[in-house]
Amino acid sequence: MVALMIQAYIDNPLYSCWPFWVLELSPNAQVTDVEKAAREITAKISFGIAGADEYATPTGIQKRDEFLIREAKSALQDAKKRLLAEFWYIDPNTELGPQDQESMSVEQWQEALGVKFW
Amino acid sequence: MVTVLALVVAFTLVIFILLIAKRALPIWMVFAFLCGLAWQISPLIIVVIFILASPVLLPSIYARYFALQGEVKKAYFFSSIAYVANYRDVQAAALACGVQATLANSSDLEQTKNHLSWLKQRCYTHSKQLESGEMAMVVIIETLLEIIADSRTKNNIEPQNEGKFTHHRLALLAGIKKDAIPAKVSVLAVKMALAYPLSIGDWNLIVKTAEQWDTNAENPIAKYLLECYRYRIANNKSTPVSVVRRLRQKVKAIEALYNLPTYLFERNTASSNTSQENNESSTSYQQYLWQHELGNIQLNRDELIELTNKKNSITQINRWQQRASELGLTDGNRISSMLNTSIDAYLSLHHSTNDASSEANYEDNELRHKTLLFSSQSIDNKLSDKRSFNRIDLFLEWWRIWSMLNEFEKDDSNYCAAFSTVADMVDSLLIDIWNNRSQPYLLWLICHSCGPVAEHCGHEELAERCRDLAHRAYH
Repeated sequence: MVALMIQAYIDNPLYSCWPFWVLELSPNAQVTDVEKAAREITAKISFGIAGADEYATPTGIQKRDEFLIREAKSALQDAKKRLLAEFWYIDPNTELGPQDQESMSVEQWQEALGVKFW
Repeated sequence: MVTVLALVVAFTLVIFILLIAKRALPIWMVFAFLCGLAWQISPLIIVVIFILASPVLLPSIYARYFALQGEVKKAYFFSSIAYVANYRDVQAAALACGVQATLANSSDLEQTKNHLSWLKQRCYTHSKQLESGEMAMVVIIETLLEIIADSRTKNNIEPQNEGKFTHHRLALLAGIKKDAIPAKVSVLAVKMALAYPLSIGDWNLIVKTAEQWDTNAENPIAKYLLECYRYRIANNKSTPVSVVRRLRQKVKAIEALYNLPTYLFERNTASSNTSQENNESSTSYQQYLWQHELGNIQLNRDELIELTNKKNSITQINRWQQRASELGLTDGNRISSMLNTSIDAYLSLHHSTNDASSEANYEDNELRHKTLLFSSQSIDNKLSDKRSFNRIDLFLEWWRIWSMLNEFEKDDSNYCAAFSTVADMVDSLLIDIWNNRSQPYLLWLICHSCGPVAEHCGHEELAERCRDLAHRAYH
């Protein structure tokens, strides 16, 4: 269960908003919303509903369990951790890839500019 | 008939004299001659004579044609007599044309090396004062020869490293005097220098490169890039694609910019938009940090600091302090400190990687120090022996030292230690050039390159001498 806590969540401040991802909430969520979300997701996991044990992150879909949900809820109920989570928050479904998929290598740029060597 | 013959003989004599004196043929003289002939004989003959004389009358067109065909010697020759088109520096423009012809026909490594060596020899046979354009061309030719030599030993050309190497070499010419650089040279240099920063999408580097080569001569590529970045995109007056479309007809060589990723422009719109310090801007900065995290864009440490500073600007801090009080946190100073600590922790993740690589470079730095010391002593010996330096050798001696010096990391203490090794040699070289060599452009370049470094590393006397000589060279 502990293995589902990704190391980056602990080491890298950029991932500080992970509790919001795990509970599928935004920074506008109230205290009651946090408790309700934790309760519902835990119930879905215990009932074995498909997809309940997965959540979206900017790095892709990750797995969650009851331990992680409890940790996320605890973090969002701590004022300081909540503030940091909101400070670093990003919507996990944000489109982060380059908008133009046609990136060019040095060689291609050299050819386009007419200065390609052999 | 006699009149016609006299006119032809007189005109041929004038062309001959002007060619020897390396002066441009005035266009009014050409038209006067043609009108005089047309008065005497049939206009058809005039057209034939014009076509036959066109290589002398319009050599720049022939130079461009042969450059595209990859005919190095012909391109060089015709460019070297194009006194009107290349009035700033004919020799440099001819070398640029020659290099363009070499690149157009560079499939055979050995042949390319021979062409470049031939062009380098043209510099040695040319005896006039060394100017900025020619120095830039010598650097370009040397860089290409080094890449060829490197590829022959390693047998493994990596275009990314080659482009980066070329970019860094040309960046070392930042102190060059721009007024004497012909358009052909600045356009070629900016194209060669831009391939690497364009491939990594680093707009700060792109702009820095464009500014360096935005010379007095018309450089449409540099001007276009600067226009894009500074005015159109920063002020959000038109989209990047429409800017590229409009200029696409004008500058064919930068057609590739049509495919430039639009997110690059949006990043700069966000970072220059200081009037909208709200949630939306904060999210934009966050997106760029995540794009860097995922490797979709490359941000250096300074850019990361800039973005995190925008996240943590005064307006944002007020907003977070208000939010903290809503969450029940009352100590405003501690909130600010907590957020700063978080940002520092994030930045230190990137700085720790740099520390590891600089440790790994320790042995390399030792070797560079020794090489630098040996090269510096060699030049000192040559100067004290009063040996005659060819102007190109003089420049190359300094250039090699300068290139070696800039292999050290700029913020590394090794950099100043390395500069201290060569400071006395630079001082002697400057005095020698001032007293004996009459090379004001070279003097300018050395003063403007080494002067700031001397000041930074605490060599006040050398910094003062650089300022003084640079001023006196042109006053």
